This record gives sequence, C-alpha cells and structure tokens, in this order.
Amino acid sequence: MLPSVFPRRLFVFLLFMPCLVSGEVTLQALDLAPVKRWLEQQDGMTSLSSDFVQTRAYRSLRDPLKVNGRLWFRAPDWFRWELGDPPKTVVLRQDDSVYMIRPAKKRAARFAIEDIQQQAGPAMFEFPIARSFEDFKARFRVDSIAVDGGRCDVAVSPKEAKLQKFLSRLAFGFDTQSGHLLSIKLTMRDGSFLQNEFSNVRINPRIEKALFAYDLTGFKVTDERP
Amino acid sequence: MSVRKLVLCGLAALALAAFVIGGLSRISFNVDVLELLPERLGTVTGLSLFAKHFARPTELIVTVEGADPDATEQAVNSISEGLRNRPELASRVVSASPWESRPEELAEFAAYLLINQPPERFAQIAERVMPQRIGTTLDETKETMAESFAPSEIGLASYDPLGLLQSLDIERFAAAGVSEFANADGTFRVIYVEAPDSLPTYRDTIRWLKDLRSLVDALPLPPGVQVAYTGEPAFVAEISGQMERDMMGSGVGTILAISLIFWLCYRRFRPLLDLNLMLITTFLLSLTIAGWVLREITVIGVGFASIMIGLSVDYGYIVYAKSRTYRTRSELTRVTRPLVLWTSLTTAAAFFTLNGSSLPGLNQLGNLVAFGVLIGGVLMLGVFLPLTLRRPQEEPTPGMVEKALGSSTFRRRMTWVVAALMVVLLGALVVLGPPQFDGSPAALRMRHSHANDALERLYTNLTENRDLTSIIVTGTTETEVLERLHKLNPKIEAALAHGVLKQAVSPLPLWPDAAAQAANLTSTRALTAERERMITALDAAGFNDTAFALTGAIFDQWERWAAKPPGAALWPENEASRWILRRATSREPGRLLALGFLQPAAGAEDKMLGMQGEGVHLVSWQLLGRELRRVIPREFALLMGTLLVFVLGLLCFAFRNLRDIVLMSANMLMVFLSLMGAMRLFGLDWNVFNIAAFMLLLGTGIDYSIYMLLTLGRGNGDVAQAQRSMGLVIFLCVASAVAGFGSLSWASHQGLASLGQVCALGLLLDGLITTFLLPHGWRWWTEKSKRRG
Repeated sequence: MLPSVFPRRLFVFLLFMPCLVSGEVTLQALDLAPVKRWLEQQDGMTSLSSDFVQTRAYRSLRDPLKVNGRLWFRAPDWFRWELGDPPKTVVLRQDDSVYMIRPAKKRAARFAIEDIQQQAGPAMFEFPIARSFEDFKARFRVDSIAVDGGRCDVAVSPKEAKLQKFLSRLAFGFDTQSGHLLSIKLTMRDGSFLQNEFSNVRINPRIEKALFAYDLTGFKVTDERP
Repeated sequence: MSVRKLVLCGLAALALAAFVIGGLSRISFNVDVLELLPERLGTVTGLSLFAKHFARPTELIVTVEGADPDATEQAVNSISEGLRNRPELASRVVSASPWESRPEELAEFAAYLLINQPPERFAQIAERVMPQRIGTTLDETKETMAESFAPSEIGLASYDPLGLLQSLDIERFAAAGVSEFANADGTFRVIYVEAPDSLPTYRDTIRWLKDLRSLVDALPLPPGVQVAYTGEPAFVAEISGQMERDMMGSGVGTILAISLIFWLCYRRFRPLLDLNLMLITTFLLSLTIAGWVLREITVIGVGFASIMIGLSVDYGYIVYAKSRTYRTRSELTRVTRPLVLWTSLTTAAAFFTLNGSSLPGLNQLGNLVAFGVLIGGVLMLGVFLPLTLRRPQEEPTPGMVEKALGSSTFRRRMTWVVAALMVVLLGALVVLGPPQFDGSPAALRMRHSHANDALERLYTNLTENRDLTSIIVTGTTETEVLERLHKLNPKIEAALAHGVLKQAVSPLPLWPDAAAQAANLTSTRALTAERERMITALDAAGFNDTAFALTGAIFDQWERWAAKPPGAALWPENEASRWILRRATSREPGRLLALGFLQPAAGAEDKMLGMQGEGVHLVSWQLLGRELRRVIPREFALLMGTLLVFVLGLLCFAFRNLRDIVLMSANMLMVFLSLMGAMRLFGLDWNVFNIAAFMLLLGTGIDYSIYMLLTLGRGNGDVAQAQRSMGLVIFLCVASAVAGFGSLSWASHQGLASLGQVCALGLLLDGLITTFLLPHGWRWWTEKSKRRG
C-alpha cells in the first residue's frame, strides 16, 4: 500500500480523467473475487513504469487518435507522463503543482494540486482504481466482470455525481497472475472514449528522483485552472 | 340615555370597530433583516439590492441529503416528479441544469458571448477561420484532442474545433464547474421549485409551503434521506410565523406575568380584570395605529407589544395604589396625573428618541412603544381611574411584597445586599472592562432557523469558496451599467495587481454591449456566408458532421439576430441562457443590475470599499459588520447625549431642585455602570440593537427615581415610609417591565432577544438601586444641607 493517498489520486486523475454512470447490475450477482485479489496485490507497489498506447475517440472525429507514451511513478507523490515519441507533452509533479509541458513550443501550464482536487471531486480515482476493495465497492457500481484465461475485464460506473457528469463508464483489464494493469478505458457521456493499453509494465523498478524534475528555463509558464 | 345618544354611541362603537378591524387586517410582517439597518450605509444598499434582485422571492430550494447517492438521487426524482404532477403547487421544478437535457440551447449563449466581445477581439477570433488560417487552427485542435490532459479543453475542442469559443473562458459562466444541483459524491442534491403565483403575503407563502411539504412528506422516499427547505419563501414563511408567535407569545406572557404579580401584591380580582382590559385595549389600539400607519412590522418592531404592556401597566399600578387612599375623582386625578404625565412623557420621549437612530427597526420599535405608553397613560387616567373609584373602598390587605417592604429588618438587609451587589458589579466592570461592541451580523439573525440550517448545508456542499464578496453594478439602462462596469474594471485589475484581491469575476463579458454587438453582427455576415468552406476544411482534417453542429447553431443565431432591427441591446432568451444569467444579471424596467464576485486577500477587506461608487455596491456581511462597528456606537453616543439633555431639562423644569437632579443622575449612572458589570458577568456584549438599552433605561428607569423622590419630598424625607409605599409601586413597575422585556429573551430574533435581556437586567438593577439606595442618598444629602445651615 502506498503511504500517501492524495498523490495517487492525482496521479490517476491525470491518467484517466473523470467519468459517469450506467446500468443497474447488482453487486451481489457478480463474483468480485478477482478484483479483490488484484487490489490486494497492489499493496506492495512503491514504483511503476510502463509504456502505453493511448487511443482517443471523439464523436466529432471520423477516426480515433493514437499516440504512444511512457509513464513513471514513484511513491509517495512523484509521477511523469510522456505523450508522443519524442514526447510532445510531458506531465509531471513538482512540489504542489502539476506541470503540463509542451517541449517543442517551450510552453508549460502550471496547475495547483488543490485546484485539480477540487475540480475532480473528493473521490478521484485511486491508483490503481481504488485504495482497497471496500473503497472500490463504495465508489463504483460494477456493471460486468469477465475472466478469460489470465485476463480479467471489469466494467464499472462511478457513484460520484461530479464524475457522472463527465463519464458514462470505466472499464479496465488486468493480469490475474501478475496483477499488472493491462488497459483502462473511459467512455464519456457523449460516446467518446479514452483508452490506454499498457505494455512493458514494471512494478517496483528503481527510478531516479531526477526523472521527476524538468528544467523549465526559457519556457513560458502560465498558471491555469483545470 | 336618549335614543339619539344611543344611536350616536352605537355609531361611534361601529366606527371604532371598523377602525380597529381595518388597522389590524392591514398588519403584515416584514421579514427582511436588512430593513432593520441604516439605509445610508453602502454595504446595506448592496445587500438590499442583492436580496431584492437576486434572492428570488418565489423560488423555493429543496435540499435532499442522504448517505447513499443512489437513494438521494431516487428521492430527488420522486420529489421532482411529484411536484411536476401538481402544477397548482409548482410552476417549474428544476433538478438539473437545463443544458444537460438540451445542450443545443447553449449555442445561443455562446453566440451571445462572441458578439458581445470588443470588435477587435472578435476580429481576432474570426481570423482563426479565415482561409489562410483554418488549416493551422484545425491542426492545433487535433493536437489538443490527442495530447491535452485538461478535460474542459478536450471537451471544448471536440465540439468547437474551429476554436471560436477557445478564448472565452466559457466554463466560468457555467459556475466554473461547481454544480448548483449536487455535490461531488451525489449525497447532497438540490431541487429549485418555482411557486405558481407571486405569493403576495406571508400567509400565502406559509400556506404554499405547508401544502408543498405535505406532498413531499406523503411521498415514499428511500429511508435515510433528509429533505429540507430554504430560499426566500422558506425564510419568509419561517420568520413571519415566528414573528407572529413572538408578538402574541410575549404579549400574552407579559399580561399573565403582570396578572400574577398584581395578584401576589393585592389579591383583588376585579381591578386585575379591569387592568388587563386596559392593557389589551392599549395593545389593540397601538397595533391598529401601526396597521394604518406602518402596514409592515419588522422583526424588531414585534417586540413593542410586550414592552409597551410592561410599561403601560405602571400607570395602572399608580392609579390603583393611590385609589386606596384617595377616593374622589378630583383628588385621585390631582395625585396621579403628574406622576403618570411625567413618567409617560419621559418614557415616550426616550422611545421617540430612537427615531434619531439610523436603524429603521429601532425607529419603528420606538414609535410603537411611545404611542403605546401614551395611549396607555390616557386610558389609565381616563378609563381605569374612574373604574377603580366605582368599587367600594377596600380594606387594604397587605400582600407578600407589601409585608416584606413593611419590615425594617428586610429593608435594612436589602440595602446591604444591594450595596454589596453594586460592589461586585462595579468590581467586575473595573476588572473585566466594559462589554465590547459586536458589529457582526449575528444579532440580525433568527436564533433557530431550519431554512438557514438548510442554506448552510447547501453552501457547505455546493460552494467551493465562501470568502467571495459580491459586487453589484446598477443603472437605469444597459449603457449606464456598461459604462460603470468599464470604469470598475481598471480598479479590479489594480486591486488584483496590488494583492488586494486574490481573484475577481467581472460581469462585464456577460453584460450586453449594444455598440459591439452591432459592429460584430455586421462582421458575422462574412463568416456565416462561408459555412460550406469551413465544413469542407473540417472534412479534410478528418472531422465529421458533428464537428460543425455547435458552430452552425451559433451561425444560425447570429443570422437571427442580424435580421432584427438594429438599436436595442441583445440579450439571449432561451431557458439555458436565462438560467445562467439569472445569477449574474437582473432586469426590471428602469433598474438593471450586474453581479460579479471578488475574493479579497486576507486582511484586505476594507481596501475593497474603495471600489464602491455611484451605482457600484459591495455585498458583504463582513464589511457591513465593520461599518456598523464604526457608525452605530458613535451614533448612539450622540443620541444618548441628546436624550440626556432633554431628560435633564425636563427634570429641571419639574423639580427645580439641584439635589433631586444630581441624585437622579447619580442613580442612573450607577444603573448603567452596574448593568455593564452584570453584562460582563453574564457574557453579554453590545450589538446594534441592545445598545438602545441605554436610552430605554434612561427613559423608563428614570420614572422610578421620579416616583421615589416625589414621595420622599411629600413625606418630609421619611425613608421608611417612602420605601413602604413607593417601594411596592416600583416593585410592581419593575416586575412588569422586566416581564415585558424579559419575555423577549425567548424571541426568535437574536437582536430583539438581546435587547430584551439587557433592558430587563437594567430595569431590575434600577428598581433595586432606586428602592434601597436612593432614599439613603436623599437623606444623606438633606441632612448634610441641614447641618450646613
């Protein structure tokens, strides 16, 4: 279990962004044992690195947009995201701010963590998904769960009203043996979605602190609200 | 009695009945606490404008709270459906933003914001879709859609790929992501219910709310869900109901207390009945006059009933006490008239002096009580006096109080007890210091208010920042408001730059700028004519038809507005736009208002006052408190000085005796000082209402000194005799006045309750000092004078 709650929330908020509701499948009717086991497996995680392919589909676009990326996380509250190869967008945390950096444009937007927390609501997603099984049940209605070989796919709807305004469904898949998160997909209310397919996932690798710093010399930095 | 006289009497009775019924039927309650405050204060004007134009009088807010978000949502749906099925109870029921069910309606608002931009700004926006630029614009949009992490940015880009709205900060107008309808976890939800009618009187409001609550109570709501009501109608129903109860309850309570006190002292039923009849008549006549003159009684004004009864009864006591000795009308009139005359005049003068206060609530209370005691004095002399003489002379049967006062041991002990009490109270004053003046709005509020509790829950759950101060800009035309907003903006920017403000939301972008609208609408013709080119560019960039839906709707709206005859400022009119604008603008013929928000930096609240000016008002309870602290104590010191001069002048005229005037002044000073000591011991502070106690004590408490000194003078300085005879009257007067003021301690309004407490405490001390210390002071002075020669 990671020692700090908030940074993980922030981390996953940046990763997935908020979502919404759906059907009325009762919790009792589904066997959630795989989810429980998987969440328990995350307790020992202190760092993580992974490659991913992010797919974003919009109602207004004919074809989805795909981009490769990498992420690093180290407890208690360091993270770094890179989108594009070479990275066109870098997101990382420094002190009480989160920076969204566009290296090519020499621009960076700074967000106060407090603002991000307020904007996303008190029950932002934990990493991965929830702090504990009890927390998971309190926050989500489980719509479906399917285990196929070594992969488990779960579809849930958040109970939080603030998240429901944006998202209609959250689906995620994980490896039942290793506990690795394999994919996560957020479907918005208007039908658009954002999906991350993870690969090369490494749990508790050694990650240097320097990776979570960024030299913004010469950048135009603006203060923004999420 | 001749037939003619009978007819005349009947007609007079009928006229009086019509006068009384007419006056009473006109009585209404004004629940607006701001009506109690000085109008000349800028912050009061701001708060009043806010209450009048933005606190919607017919919109009830129903809050639904529960631990389970599903159950809460279910309850909201049940209540909304139940109310929608009863159009006679609710003309509109809103439990979600109108644009959530009809997002296309937002296009009108977006179109409005765009054409309301300064023309040069609009030209920059239009530049983004020009043939040479549109390709770059769409590339940037796709980059945002692929890489941005900001939900609002992504959402906007996908529906506005041409970026027309990109620079408008459109989220701010939809309350910056803060929902008016539910908190983040969905455990607290809100329904806005519009009354079917205008609810002209408080009784209509009470009835409507009662019907609505009955309907909600009958609905099968999930267990654990709590429903509460707030908003203007809930406050009106609650406060006016409490006011009605306060007025009747304290009035009846005072009469009962007076009856008990009278019975303990005299054990006579018939005079008690007559006395109560006089008091009820006094009350009804005063209320009738109030009905004809005032129409609306404020939450402070309702206190008049018990105060006036508690004071008017004094004249009855005097008449009754003297009637046991003087048995002819002329004798009794000769003895009682000066007493009643002087005491009722000084009391009325004290209460009339409240008109000098800038607090309208106290003005009203003062006038009502002053008229009441004058009516009471006239009734006691004109009606009660002959009634007391109709009965045969009664054998005086000393009651409990009279027996005690007749005992020299009791009087001596009481003198020491009162002297010791003074030492304690004055010691407390010296050690603890005088009570502080509390200028906070607490004194303006009701003590227990379900509507306020619900509002607090609503603020806690749905408001991110409670440090915001509203700023209202008013004008008679759109242009006037716009000009004032333009003048205000540099001040706001300077305040932001100098750290006086942490943030500011100006209503300027929302306010219609007729000139800019006309110029921009001309430019839109060139844009709308190029729809097909834009659609082609979108298609080439990989977008589908959906991508142009919002832009197309904006273009349609521009075309509709462009077809209108030029001149008047354009306002968006659909339901979504009205819903957004209702919190930021208000329009009535000849009265237009724009509402913005400022967040002052800590400790810089006072510096915001510089932003106020003609037509610009801050809305802040905090600032109001500061202004009240600055204005009210000074004002009351001036009033107190005026009243003091008046009363002293009156006493000089009446007594023409230095000894009596000095003794009365010293007596009063002792009362005030000991009262302040007692207030410190009881943890009471001064506030905008109870500070008037100084004047009321001076006006009413001086009566006891007058009684005592007149009696001492007539009795050649026989202290024991004066304490025996006048002590009983003073006891009756003090007990009745304490009952009157004290009954207000349970009043719903905190200011009125504190006024009652302080006055009751002061009068009690006054009675004790006057009865047990003043006569000794008189004797000491007289003997000293005799020794000197």
